[in-house]
Amino acid sequence: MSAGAKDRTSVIERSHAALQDDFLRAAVRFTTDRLKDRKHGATEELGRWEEWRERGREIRAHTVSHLDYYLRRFVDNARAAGAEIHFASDAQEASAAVLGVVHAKQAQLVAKSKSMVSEEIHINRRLEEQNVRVVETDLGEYIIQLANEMPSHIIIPAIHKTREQIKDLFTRDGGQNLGTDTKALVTFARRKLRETFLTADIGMTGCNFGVAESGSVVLFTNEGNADMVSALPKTHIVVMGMERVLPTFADLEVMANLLPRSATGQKVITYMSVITGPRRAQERCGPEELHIVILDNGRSSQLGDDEFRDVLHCIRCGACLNVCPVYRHIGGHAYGSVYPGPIGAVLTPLLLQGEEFADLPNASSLCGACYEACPVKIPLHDMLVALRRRAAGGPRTKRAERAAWRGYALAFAKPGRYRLVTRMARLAQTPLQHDGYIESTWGPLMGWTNSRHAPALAPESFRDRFSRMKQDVRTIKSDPQ
Amino acid sequence: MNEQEFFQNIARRLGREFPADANAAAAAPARTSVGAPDFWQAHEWNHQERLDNFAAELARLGGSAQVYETLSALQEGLAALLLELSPSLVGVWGGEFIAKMQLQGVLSPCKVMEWVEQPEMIEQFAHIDVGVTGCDFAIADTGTVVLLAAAGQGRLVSLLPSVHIVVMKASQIHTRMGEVWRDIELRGLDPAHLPSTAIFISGPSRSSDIENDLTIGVHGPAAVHALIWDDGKS
Repeated sequence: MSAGAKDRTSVIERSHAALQDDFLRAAVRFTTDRLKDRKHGATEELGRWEEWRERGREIRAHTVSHLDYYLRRFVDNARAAGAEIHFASDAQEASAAVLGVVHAKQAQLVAKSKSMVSEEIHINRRLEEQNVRVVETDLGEYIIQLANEMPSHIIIPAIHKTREQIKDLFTRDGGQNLGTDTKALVTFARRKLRETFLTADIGMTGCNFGVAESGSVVLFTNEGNADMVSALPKTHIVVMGMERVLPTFADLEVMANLLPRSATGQKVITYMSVITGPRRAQERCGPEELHIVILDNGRSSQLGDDEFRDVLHCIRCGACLNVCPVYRHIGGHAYGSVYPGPIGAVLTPLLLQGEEFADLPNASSLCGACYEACPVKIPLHDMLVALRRRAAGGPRTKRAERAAWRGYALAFAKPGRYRLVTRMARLAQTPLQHDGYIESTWGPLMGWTNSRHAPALAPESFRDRFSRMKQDVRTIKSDPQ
Repeated sequence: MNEQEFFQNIARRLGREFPADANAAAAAPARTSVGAPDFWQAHEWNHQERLDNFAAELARLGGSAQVYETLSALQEGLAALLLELSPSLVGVWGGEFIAKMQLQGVLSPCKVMEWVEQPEMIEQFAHIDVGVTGCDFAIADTGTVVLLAAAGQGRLVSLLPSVHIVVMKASQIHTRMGEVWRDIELRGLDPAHLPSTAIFISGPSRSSDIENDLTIGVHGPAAVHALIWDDGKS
């Protein structure tokens, strides 16, 4: 299933499609299990994980509640180091800022390192519309770019691709006599992308963290592609969400411990690059120009919303995906947008308000595993409930559902009505029930009973039993032995 | 959107009439804690523990670390490693690095390219097989070497080749990342004192993007060897 955002399908329809794909389900289960187990091992080894987590939460909460201060420090310091700063209130302005630089440099080729925020503004599409070639250089992103798809996992974008499919994609991209072993495939990608690094006019990255006290942009990668992209081309463009800031380098130490462990169960990321401005006069390596595009795109509305401000604490590790029973079954594409899993189910409807993604908060069992896994303790399950509450009564609510709730309100308002309705329901359930359970594929409860058992109403209500029991008690009392 | 509106909007959403005063001189917002948990900030290993842990962690990541008692033993070790790798072209940090570690003799049998100030460096370094660098700091906790950009210290020497050799001293190894920041802070955190890049390298380049199969050497080096002169003992 390719970029689903324009299909206007519901999350349920997309899930059905995903559930038919056996490879996808097996791959997602295998990978998420592995990431989850490794994370568990890595946090056990570190010890006192809850203290680290709490520290992570404190740092993010403090920064976000003083974002005006820390972002200002970041911007002033980055400027002092020679960076040029652009502000974008939405995806369109961010794309315009990037395109402005691209045009000024008359760039033909942009090399990109993996970045969720650049997916969020669909910059690849914008660049291609202007006949600028853009190449993803993270191995997973490169694969899905060749397949013309969206990432299906925040950390492992090509989680759903088999090595045969990858071989075919690489062959189409010029690979000759490629085998399906990992080494051969990686060697091809290394050689191919090396040309891109050396010839690109512009390198583009996201920003894992910005450090306010120095104006530094911090990038985390395992492959080294962010270093290539930021060191080789003459111009480096950073696109960062405005909430990516940390106050100090001391705080970065906490994130450097939390992020790789939560994302892949690694103790440490292979390359952490701290970039402060473009290259200095005395240095001979690095870009001549550094542009930082700071993006709002709906983030400020979360900032002012007490129920959702904490979602800005997110460090994009993907740990919530790996533990989510829904994600583990349906994979990332069923979420239909850039951010999948529990964080996507919260973030997407907030970033892209309106009809299209309003059903995403329903793609959750509210089990809270996402909160348990989150390295900065974002209460995602509470936010999912809050989103459902806000959507209730909105245009997505079906007429039958509204009628059902009205009926519920009526029936439960008076004891007499309640008794009457439950009696009727007890009669109505007779053809559907079996051994005390309803397991029907039709009727008003089929949304539930299609795939699960619903307990049937007991043959006798508690109220009826209670009045009989009262009778018995009275009899015993009046006749003590 | 213009800058002023952007910040005004953030302040408004935070319930403030104007953005916080964030001049360099203004006081930062009060916080109860900064950085890592206290027990971690107090954590410190002695010289031998740092050395042992650094070597063990780097090995765990797929790199290797070799400790030498003297500088001349290290030079012999490097010579043997280069003989084994027999690279057609070796890239080396420029500046005082070679002289400081007295590597002229060891490098002489190889075709060597030094990182110096000239514009076509990138093209030339694209073809090196082995890169030899020093480091500014190292971290025992994670087997990490830290390289700061400077005139002779080009990033590409450690990034482009398939083998990266780090020639370093045991006294450069700190216990944890926070101490490295403290050292860098001592030089001054203002952008004028910070180099354009500080790179924290922990082992060889890796990816698990193809069916979760871990591979080494995707874009960066496939091998990282640390040759450590244990200067603490002398």
